[in-house]
Amino acid sequence: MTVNTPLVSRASAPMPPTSGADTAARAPRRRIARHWRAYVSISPFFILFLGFGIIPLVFAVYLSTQKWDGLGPSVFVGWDQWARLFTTPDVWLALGNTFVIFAMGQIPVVIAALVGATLVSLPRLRFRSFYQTAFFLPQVTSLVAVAIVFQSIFGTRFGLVNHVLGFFGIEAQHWLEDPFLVKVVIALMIIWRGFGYFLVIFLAGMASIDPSMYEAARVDGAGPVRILWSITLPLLAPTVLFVSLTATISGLQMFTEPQILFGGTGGPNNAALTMMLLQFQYLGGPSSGAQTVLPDLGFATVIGWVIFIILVVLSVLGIRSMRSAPMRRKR
Amino acid sequence: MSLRMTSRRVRATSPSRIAAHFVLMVGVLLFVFPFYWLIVMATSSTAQIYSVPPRLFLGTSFFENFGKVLEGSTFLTAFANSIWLTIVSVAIHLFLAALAGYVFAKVSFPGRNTLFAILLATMLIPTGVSLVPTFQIYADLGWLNTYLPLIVPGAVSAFGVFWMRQAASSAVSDEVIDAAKIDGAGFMRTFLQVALPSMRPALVAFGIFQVMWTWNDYLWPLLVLGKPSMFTLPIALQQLQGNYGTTDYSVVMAGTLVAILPLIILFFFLRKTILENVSAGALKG
Amino acid sequence: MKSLRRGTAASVIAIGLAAAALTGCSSGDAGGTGDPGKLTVWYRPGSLPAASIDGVKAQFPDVKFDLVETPDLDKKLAAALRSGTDVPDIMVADVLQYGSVEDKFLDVSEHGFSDVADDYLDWKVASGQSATGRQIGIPIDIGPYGYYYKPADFEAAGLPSEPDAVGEAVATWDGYENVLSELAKTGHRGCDHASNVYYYTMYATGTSFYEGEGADATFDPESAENKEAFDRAMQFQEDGYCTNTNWWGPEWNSAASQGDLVGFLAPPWIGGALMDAAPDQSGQWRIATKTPGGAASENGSTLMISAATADPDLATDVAIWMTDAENQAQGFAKDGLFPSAVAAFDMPAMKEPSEFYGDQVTAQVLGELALAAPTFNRGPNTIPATNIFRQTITDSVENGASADEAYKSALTKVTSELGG
Repeated sequence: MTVNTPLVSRASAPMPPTSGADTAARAPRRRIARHWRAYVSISPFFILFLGFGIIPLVFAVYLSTQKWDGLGPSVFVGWDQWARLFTTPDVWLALGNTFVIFAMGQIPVVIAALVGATLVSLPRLRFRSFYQTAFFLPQVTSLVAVAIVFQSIFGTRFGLVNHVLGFFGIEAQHWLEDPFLVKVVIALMIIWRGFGYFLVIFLAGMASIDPSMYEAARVDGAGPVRILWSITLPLLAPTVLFVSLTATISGLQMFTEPQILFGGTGGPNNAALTMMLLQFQYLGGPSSGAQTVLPDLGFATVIGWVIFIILVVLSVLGIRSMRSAPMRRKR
Repeated sequence: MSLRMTSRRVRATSPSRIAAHFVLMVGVLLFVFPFYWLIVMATSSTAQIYSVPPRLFLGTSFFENFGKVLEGSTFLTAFANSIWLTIVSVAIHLFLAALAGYVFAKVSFPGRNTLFAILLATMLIPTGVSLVPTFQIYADLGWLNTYLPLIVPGAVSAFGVFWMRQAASSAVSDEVIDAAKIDGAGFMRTFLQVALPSMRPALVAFGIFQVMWTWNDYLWPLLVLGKPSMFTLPIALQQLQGNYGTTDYSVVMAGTLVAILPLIILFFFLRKTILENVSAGALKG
Repeated sequence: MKSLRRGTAASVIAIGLAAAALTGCSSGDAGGTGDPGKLTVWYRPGSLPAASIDGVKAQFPDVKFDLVETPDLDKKLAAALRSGTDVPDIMVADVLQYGSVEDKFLDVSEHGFSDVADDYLDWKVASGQSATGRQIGIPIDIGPYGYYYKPADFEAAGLPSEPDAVGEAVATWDGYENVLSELAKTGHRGCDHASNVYYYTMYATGTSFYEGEGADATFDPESAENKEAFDRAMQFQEDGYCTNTNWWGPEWNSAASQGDLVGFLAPPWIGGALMDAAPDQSGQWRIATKTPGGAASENGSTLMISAATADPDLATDVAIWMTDAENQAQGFAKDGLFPSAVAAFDMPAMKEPSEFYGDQVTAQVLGELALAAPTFNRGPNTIPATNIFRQTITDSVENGASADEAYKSALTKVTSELGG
């Protein structure tokens, strides 16, 4: 069965073949000119990035040599802001927090979403649409509401969770004060908020898998787990890769959940202070009731560069390890 | 969704199914509960929210609360602004991302891999520090107090292109494209009528996310928009806060609830498309 | 889902519409600076009396007003000041926060404010001055601290219950501590959070961590008053006198509405939060006539005027009108903004009994306290330093640090971040 799409007949000239056989003979300029449509198609991204990505980035390099409160004049300080990284204990605390929260929240949410997508895609599943909508709800709930709801649920003295624990005779936990439990709450927020997002991405990826693959497998007598392992996962591998990559990038820049839970401070004992939140503090983000440092955009920029360097290092490592794994043949 | 089973038919109520339902139900309860409580808070008065045991039933004060929302903020204007802005910017974004994704996936041209690697690399750059210089650029361009900074810079993202490329490469087969070329289709025609339909699930999924992000975007509209008549919904909702902090939670929740209804409705109508198996039969046979 | 052709056409049309609308939407005159006869006013929700906002157009009919209400005003303002574009004429802002760019703000004493300066509380007028002595802030509201309490629970604990009597009981720190301990015996708390007690003391003693005045002031976080306040707060905390719930959170609201919290020191806006959190307790609260160790008041908000405004005299006139005694009294009655214009204290609006507080004329009580509050010589480091100390007290609830350990760690952080 071929796709039933109306196609133009003789009117437009057919595209020239894109095989490389005779292009090598042509001058490079003509090669590029021939592919002008491709270049034009991808140009919007690069043009926009040049204007709104590169230029601010150059400025960010300049900023990292300055001490600036964001309002008055800026002062050149050379490498001082970088040196300051080593004399500010909060930087290292934030670094540790970022990785711990990442491990506790971002990794489980991707795995859970994969499992969830599999379950929700089971053939002839009743209530499927109910499940899909339900899991997507957290994604659309505004952050102000999420903060208030989570504060109410996990409040130490009057929160719902402790209330329920009380029924089982369990002592009230200091969800929003104990450094470890705070991270648990944030991880739960990340999972709660992120699940629907990753679920949808996985579902969309699964929808692209040709069902005749499943059919063939079932004809051969494969059960659901076997199908998941040998068919779904391998075919979904590019999506999983994509998801892991974006989840890591955004996970290490974790900011929203800690910020809305504690209003821009780092939480009790800075348990919720992540690198991006620290940067936010030095950008002058928190309101005056929560501000514990003087704004210094130069230092904030340097913190941002640290995150960038970490991401680059991780990406390089990730790519190296992926090169050694077998890859699907590119089309 | 209809997968034809030839053998080993799974009954809808087999034990493994029941287990699956159980797990899913528990998940649903946990996920829906905070949202449910949002509804409880939106329909109760602020005082009722703080009783013990915590109130778990829907209240009756929704319209009262929402009335205060309308009084206390430019809600309706902002609602209209948000709808308009979201439609325009998401439409542009989807088109450009799909086009670039398709080209990266299906068209071979010199430098393709390098350019895509550069695109990927741009995703690594953290955005916090570009805030200050970016605002300066908008100011210098004279874009303040317009919607341009909310549409143009975000008109296509690396994330979007990445996703669309992924979708194009798995959903659009070379055979179909070749068939189209043989039939005489040009570049744009092939894209619009062959590639895009095949990419539909991913396109819709990505579209929903873009709608959500644009709808809930707070920071840039805050910084860039000067006139209250131009405010978008998240900014208007913030007007419900008190002078030094929030005191009337139920009103804030009521406003929030109404603000997210369009997103829920949108998702509800589009979720079939995300799941629909567009490539059914298109490739084989 | 529409067919793709229609979808494509729709998006093309949308883009076209967008292009057309955008060029039309770009308004070049949303910023009023530089345009005589036009004034832009930025304010946070509830930061200016509704009477001022509603009445300013009628009061100045020849002026075109652009009234912009947004809570994250400071972010917008910082961005505008940095880029030099679209700075509003009049804005609700904190003098201290913009200290480094104070020359971008108008010295209103040169444009008519000196004539009316005496109408306001002198410490409030002083707080509107920059480090170099320029008057860049016009007073709006203040936050006099009162001790809010529930007479019924006080009586049950064997304590006095009339506002005067309770005032006398808590007027000294020893007396206050005694009240807290008696309450604790009955299972109630007379304090919401130890860090708030510390915070209050900063205001009561006028401790700003700065020695000296004006541009010569030096930052010195190691003041004796600071240590005393810190130790006392830690003491209250260790003794368990406070509910360990802080302002602006669901926990505090629950503590109040469920009767655990029966007394707390706070500025008037927290009294407002109380009314929202526990309206069924109307009539059960009072405000004591005195507070521990003297009177205290938070600074509240000020109006600032851009130095680049086209007509400085007009802008100053408008700002002064918006904060005059009449409007401020209305602000108290309707919006919970406690006036800083002294004449307002004698107006009828401030003499109304308050039902929530059992028909007590709370305005009078708070007014007396406001008059007695000390003048505060704040500098740019005051707020971060205070917050660091406060946060350390809060943290010690969990990490169990002793007063000395906590103080040392706070001091280390303050000196490394802020110098001194």
